[in-house]
Amino acid sequence: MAKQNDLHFKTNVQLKSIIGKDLINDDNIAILELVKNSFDADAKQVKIKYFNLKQNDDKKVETFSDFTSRLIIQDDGIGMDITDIRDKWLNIAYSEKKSNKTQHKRRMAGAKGVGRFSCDRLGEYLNLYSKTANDDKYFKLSIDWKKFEIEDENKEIQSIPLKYETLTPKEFQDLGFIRFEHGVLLEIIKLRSTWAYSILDKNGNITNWDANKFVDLKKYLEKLINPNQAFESNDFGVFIDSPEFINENNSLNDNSKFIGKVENRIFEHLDFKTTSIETKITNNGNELYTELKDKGETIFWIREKNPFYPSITNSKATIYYLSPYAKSFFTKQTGIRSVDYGSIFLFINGFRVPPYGEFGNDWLGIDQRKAQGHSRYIGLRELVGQIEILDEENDFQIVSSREGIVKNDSFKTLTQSDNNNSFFYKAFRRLERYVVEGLNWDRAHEDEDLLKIHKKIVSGETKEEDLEYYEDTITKQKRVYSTIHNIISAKASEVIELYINENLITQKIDEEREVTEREFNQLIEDFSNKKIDSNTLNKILQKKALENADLEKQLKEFSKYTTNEATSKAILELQNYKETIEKQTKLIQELQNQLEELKRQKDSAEKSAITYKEKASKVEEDLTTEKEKNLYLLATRRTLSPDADGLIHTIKINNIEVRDGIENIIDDLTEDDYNVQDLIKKLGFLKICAERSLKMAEFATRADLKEDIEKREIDIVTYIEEYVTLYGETFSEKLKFTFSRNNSRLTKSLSVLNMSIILDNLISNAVKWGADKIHFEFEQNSDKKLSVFISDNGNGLSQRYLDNSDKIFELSVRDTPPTGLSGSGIGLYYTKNLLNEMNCDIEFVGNGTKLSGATFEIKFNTI
Amino acid sequence: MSVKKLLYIDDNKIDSQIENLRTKLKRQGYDLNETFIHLNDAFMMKNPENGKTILDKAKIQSFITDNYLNQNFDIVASDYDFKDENLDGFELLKWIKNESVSKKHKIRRAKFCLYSAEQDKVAKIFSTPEQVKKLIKLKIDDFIDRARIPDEISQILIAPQKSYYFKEHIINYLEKFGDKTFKSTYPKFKGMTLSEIAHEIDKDLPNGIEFQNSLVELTVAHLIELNNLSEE
Repeated sequence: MAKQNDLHFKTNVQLKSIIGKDLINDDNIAILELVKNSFDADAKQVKIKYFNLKQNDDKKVETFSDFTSRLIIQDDGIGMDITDIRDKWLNIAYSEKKSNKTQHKRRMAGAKGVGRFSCDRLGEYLNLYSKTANDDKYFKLSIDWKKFEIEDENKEIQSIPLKYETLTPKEFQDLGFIRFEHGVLLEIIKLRSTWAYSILDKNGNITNWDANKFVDLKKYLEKLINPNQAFESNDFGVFIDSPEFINENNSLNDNSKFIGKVENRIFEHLDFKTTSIETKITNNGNELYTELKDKGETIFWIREKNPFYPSITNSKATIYYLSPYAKSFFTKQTGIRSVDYGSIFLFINGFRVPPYGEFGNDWLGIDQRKAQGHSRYIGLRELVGQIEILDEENDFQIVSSREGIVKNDSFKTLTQSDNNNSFFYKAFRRLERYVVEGLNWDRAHEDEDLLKIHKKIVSGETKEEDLEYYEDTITKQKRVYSTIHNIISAKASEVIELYINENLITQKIDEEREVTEREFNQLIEDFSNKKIDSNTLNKILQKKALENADLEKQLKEFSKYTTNEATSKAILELQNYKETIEKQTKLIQELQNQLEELKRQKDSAEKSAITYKEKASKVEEDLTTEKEKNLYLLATRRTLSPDADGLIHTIKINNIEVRDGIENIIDDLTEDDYNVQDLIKKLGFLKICAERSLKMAEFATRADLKEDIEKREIDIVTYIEEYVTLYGETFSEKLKFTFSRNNSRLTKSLSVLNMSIILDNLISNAVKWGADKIHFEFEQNSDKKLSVFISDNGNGLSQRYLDNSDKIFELSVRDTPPTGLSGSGIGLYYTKNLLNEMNCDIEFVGNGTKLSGATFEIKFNTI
Repeated sequence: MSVKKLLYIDDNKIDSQIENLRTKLKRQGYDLNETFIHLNDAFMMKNPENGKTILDKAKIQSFITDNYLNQNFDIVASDYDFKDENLDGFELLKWIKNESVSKKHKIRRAKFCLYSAEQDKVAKIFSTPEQVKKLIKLKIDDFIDRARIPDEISQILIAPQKSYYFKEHIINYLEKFGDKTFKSTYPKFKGMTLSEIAHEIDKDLPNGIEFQNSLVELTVAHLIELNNLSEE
């Protein structure tokens, strides 16, 4: 096995320059880094003080003297003892933030542990003075950065010795400093940059000093300081001092004065001039609270579930839309044009992340999105604001001092514009919709000369209340109201509570109510003056219906969400208003009905006058037409009496059978395909049909035909008695009928037509056999059975059939009566047939059993 | 001779007309096999408290169910007016049709006709949207003038088939040889009679459907095979 050897990194001295003056290439950033260190050390104040800028010996002395240029950055933080200096300050890349995110109740700002090398960027020499509250001495560490600037590949950074000493308060004071209890004082000597330029006249004499770099520094620091102070206690102050430049400072306008406390006042008063949206995550990261304000008034706020949990848990965004007027007010307040100030800044743990939001930086892709061709998008120039994040988990890592943060998933959830599915865009889109769809850009009046107005606003001549907009407030409010749900665009299931400015709702109602009332009163007046017609009322009703439908829709939209109390009250008013509209509609409808009734009466009076006239002239004509018509058939079915109607039905059915029966016989005969027996049967059937027709003709004159004659509920006993009495005479005048009812009674549903034919057959048979007396005897066998014995005094059945009397009911069997009046022989066959169809039967009882002649028994059954 | 099966329902006998129909069919080469449900038989009646004898719908239904629903008919025809307040031909046909469709009885494949001696009177009954809706839903095949029963019904029976119903054909064909037993080639049906297989198809049972699928596939495969042979 090969021998294993150890290798390790070496740190060359030149590392100092790489992470020092070469890395931090901007003076302002360098100062900021040092300020951050102070902040992390729980300082309440950081003082930045310049000396010896106008006159110094920088170029005259090798090292430095009391007259060399100096920058002192002093804080009142907890300070460092010797251990801290040795183990932390001198420990490159060590950052307490990495192990300790919150210190002294602050979220730490510095992160990479290289901020201290900013001193190298700023000056050639550094004296660090530090004292903690526990020490009674000051530690002094002196660094000459030049000592690290040697090209020697073997020289390691830790091989350069750094001098340190301890000072008593007295000794410290003797150096010209004021004593402090705790904190750090950085004395940066022989400044590398020129902070102020002398302006010379043609004789080479200094006439003036250009102190713009201080103004820049101040403005830079200003923006770095979160205007809303993300930290919990607003107790951190940065002060710039430069005693040599008091005069220069005083000659500047208020916005540019650099001596004094650095403060970010930009957003302090913007609320009153702008439209803004604020969105923040509350309730331990679970809820998203968004509030939209317009010119100081809350339009809506909404509490909904945080859709970005857990990526974004402790954040807040404030976005201002600057209308043309608002831009002018911005300039008046800040001294710079909003576009120069920047757009949306990002603050992480209280400090800005450059270059986000600076002029020309479109880190959120807002202009890029607008350029992709949507005129209804807000551009970067119309926005200012910031996103603040308190990042304890280090989800948002700063790449370097000028490159923003790492584009990880958290960054995406914060900023992506796809589907507006990010913390920023969700709020921004609501603001945008409000501005574009609601306010229609809140445009200035067309006639206004914007440049002139701008000047007047900046000079203070024009006040907010003097402004003229393209549209009045009411118009804008109406549009906002009508699109409010679209603006909010929230999923009902996500919403915890919603507030919509109650005035927005009620104002609309109030205005509409007024108009409606007026219209309604006018309507009533017009109605009583008869100045209104049905058409107008109809139109009004239609309008009301639309209005009602619209209100219905609004209420439905509102009902989706849980709303705040004030909003709920306003919605209730909306509901009440809807009821008013409904009541009015009802009243108008009544008026309409009255009007129509009147119109109808009038019309009908007029009409009847005309009708009478027409009638008179038409009578003659009709008479002729009627005469003609009666000659022909009616096109439509005539309404017959129920009698005739029932009869016709039976006739039809009967005759269809006759017709087809005859057709069948003709067919059979034509085809020569028949046997006599079959033919007789068919003809017998036709005979019955013919008899039925005859019977119907009789019935037509005498019977009650309202009920069906083919199916009638009758008492058989009564029916037979009645029928025989009435019709019996038609056979022979001499014929006598007698009846023995024996208290019998049987109700049955049957065809009275067929029943009649059966009786006819039996009577005519008796007559043929010489009878002049027929006796009907009824015998009740049970409540469902009845026997009728029909007995005559004729010759009786011939001897040859007495033993097999059943045969007489067969087809073409006939017994020739002595009278010679022969029947066709089909009578009894069909009598039995018809009875069988009624579920009844007939049989021959015998000769001389009742009267002297034959006796038949008909057995009736009912169910 | 091919047989046409008719089921007709009436409260009157229409023997002559049926005879006439038979003759007409005979000339076209068909035998008529008719079944008559005569709504005059006592067992189809009931006599409720009010004393009037009326048709007993339940009894009629169970009679039809027991005897006819699972038979094949070409036509089921019914008179409209039974002279009964309790039941008419429309109601009865509706019941037969719904019952047989929902329970997949064989009778469902018949054509359903209503006839009446007074069509114009019946037409007036279907004068409300509700009634028309009922009528349309029933999808009756014809409404015939009673006086023209032989003509109309024979026309329906001998009318050329406008569409081909594979399933019906296959069922009828299998029924023709219903007693024969199926041996193999389709293992699931092994040992079943053709009539039993027809039943599987008729009831849309899974095996029945599958069998029809493979039958078609087999046939087509066979045709292709024959094709190849003739090319060789």
